[in-house]
Amino acid sequence: MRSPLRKKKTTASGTARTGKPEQAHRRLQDLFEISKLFASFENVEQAFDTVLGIAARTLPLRSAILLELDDGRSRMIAWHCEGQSSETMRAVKEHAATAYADLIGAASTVSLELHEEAGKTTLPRQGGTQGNLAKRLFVMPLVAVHRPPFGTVQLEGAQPFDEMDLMFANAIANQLAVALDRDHTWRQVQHAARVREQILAIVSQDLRNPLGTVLLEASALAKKRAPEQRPGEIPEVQNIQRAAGHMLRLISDLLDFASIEAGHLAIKRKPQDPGAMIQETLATFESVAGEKRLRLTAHVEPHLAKVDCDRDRILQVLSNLVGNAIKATAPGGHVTLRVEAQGKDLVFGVSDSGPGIRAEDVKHLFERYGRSGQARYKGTGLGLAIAKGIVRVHGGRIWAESKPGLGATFLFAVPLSTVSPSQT
Amino acid sequence: MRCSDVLDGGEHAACVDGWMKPAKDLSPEVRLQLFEAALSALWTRTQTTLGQVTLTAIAERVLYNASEKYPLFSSLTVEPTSGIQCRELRERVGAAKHSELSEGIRFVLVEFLTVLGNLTAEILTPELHSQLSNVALPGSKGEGKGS
Repeated sequence: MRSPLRKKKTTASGTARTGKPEQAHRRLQDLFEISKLFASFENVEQAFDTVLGIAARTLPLRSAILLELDDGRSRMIAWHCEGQSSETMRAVKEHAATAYADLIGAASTVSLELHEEAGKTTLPRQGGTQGNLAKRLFVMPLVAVHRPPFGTVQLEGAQPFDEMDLMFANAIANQLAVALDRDHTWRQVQHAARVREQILAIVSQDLRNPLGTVLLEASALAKKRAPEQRPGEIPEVQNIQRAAGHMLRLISDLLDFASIEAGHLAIKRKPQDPGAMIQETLATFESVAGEKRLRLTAHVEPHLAKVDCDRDRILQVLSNLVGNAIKATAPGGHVTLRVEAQGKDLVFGVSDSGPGIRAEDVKHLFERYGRSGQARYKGTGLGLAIAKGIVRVHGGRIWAESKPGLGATFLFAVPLSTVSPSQT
Repeated sequence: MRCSDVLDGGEHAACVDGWMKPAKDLSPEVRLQLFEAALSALWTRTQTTLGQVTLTAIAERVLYNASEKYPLFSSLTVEPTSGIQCRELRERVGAAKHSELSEGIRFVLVEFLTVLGNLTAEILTPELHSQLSNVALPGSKGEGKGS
């Protein structure tokens, strides 16, 4: 088969339009210019206005029609050259609408309910036409990978087109399709972000507020105990309090995670004593560890400098790590907290004598819903992802070290502040 | 009105009928083999000019129309790199009605040529007709000579 690139054809007007190196060179330059336009313009349709002017340098265009399906609506933008008759434009539009309806699978052109607009610029004047209309019309589907056709571009020439014209026009249509698809995806992403914001607003207000009332009322109910019962001895009320507390934690996790994902997690940095944070965490979990017959200990390097951090957020990370360690460790085991300076960082660590984590699971632990395949306890799957987000906002890093059967150690490092011990 | 009605598809129908005529006494399996070879030839030639993504969109539309009229052809799929695939149809072709297979093959080829012709100002039509005419089973009488 002869290559279409080598094909030379003389048009009805007698002008050899294809195969000429100078025309090929010109079109290559035009395509480069067009690609820059599509890459830089925010409004794709506006860019196409300019693109048509460029295409008309080597294509004798009488008209161009862009049909686009966006959010279930069909839109037609039509450009015509100077002197184009309205009767021809009607026929050209009908052809474009018919081809478009067929490509997108519409029942008929009437069902499209086309919204029609005129292109901003007028194409350069062309001489008389040669050949019948059908031989002077290209219709190129606008398609993108993983998406059904979402539009068409129809070009009408003053003379019959040839294969080189078709390839040139198709290259332009492909670039237009990519630009429109990118625009469409961007708008979808924006919409999804807005929807997420709305859902978060609902979660934070409409769910948290009534939950607060449930906890408050449950607490009041617990106080109205029967004379023979001691405070906290009504099992139904305890169940309500436990479930509501769990739900509140889930909501907080979801909100934290959403803030981290959106890059909006705010922290309030102040110089903090690392040892005090370790001791506070220890105190929080002492009774839980005791119930499970675990040994909970802490090692704090003496004379540590204060660290510039958000105390509540760092405590949240420590609580998550210690909570996980307690859940993972069998009765009789031990959990150790430690903090020490390592170079310019302050490193916190939580070690346990649990079953350990497989190497293939370790690398996914800090992803959302990433849990050890061996984990025997339930969680939201967001805790470690949130911990990672909090540490990162502090400019630090978090990681885990483990060997199956030999327990696990979770560590996180935050940059040491310049605040010295004497400034405390 | 559908796109394929804009231009007269008679020219394409005549080409396809001419190509199918010598195959009318062949077994369904062999006719399907010829059909696959025809699709492959048309796909290869058209892809050079239109590219995979555009051609896939056009072919999917043609197959949608075909499956509405000929349910036997609803199993045909389009793969961007290799074109229209008939794997499932190959398994069911033995039990298919002679007329449905013939009519379905004719419909897909005529529709493919007509839609492509209408969208591309019939620029590719002469070469596509020529490609189709050259499709024959290896060793058969008409191989390479056209119909």
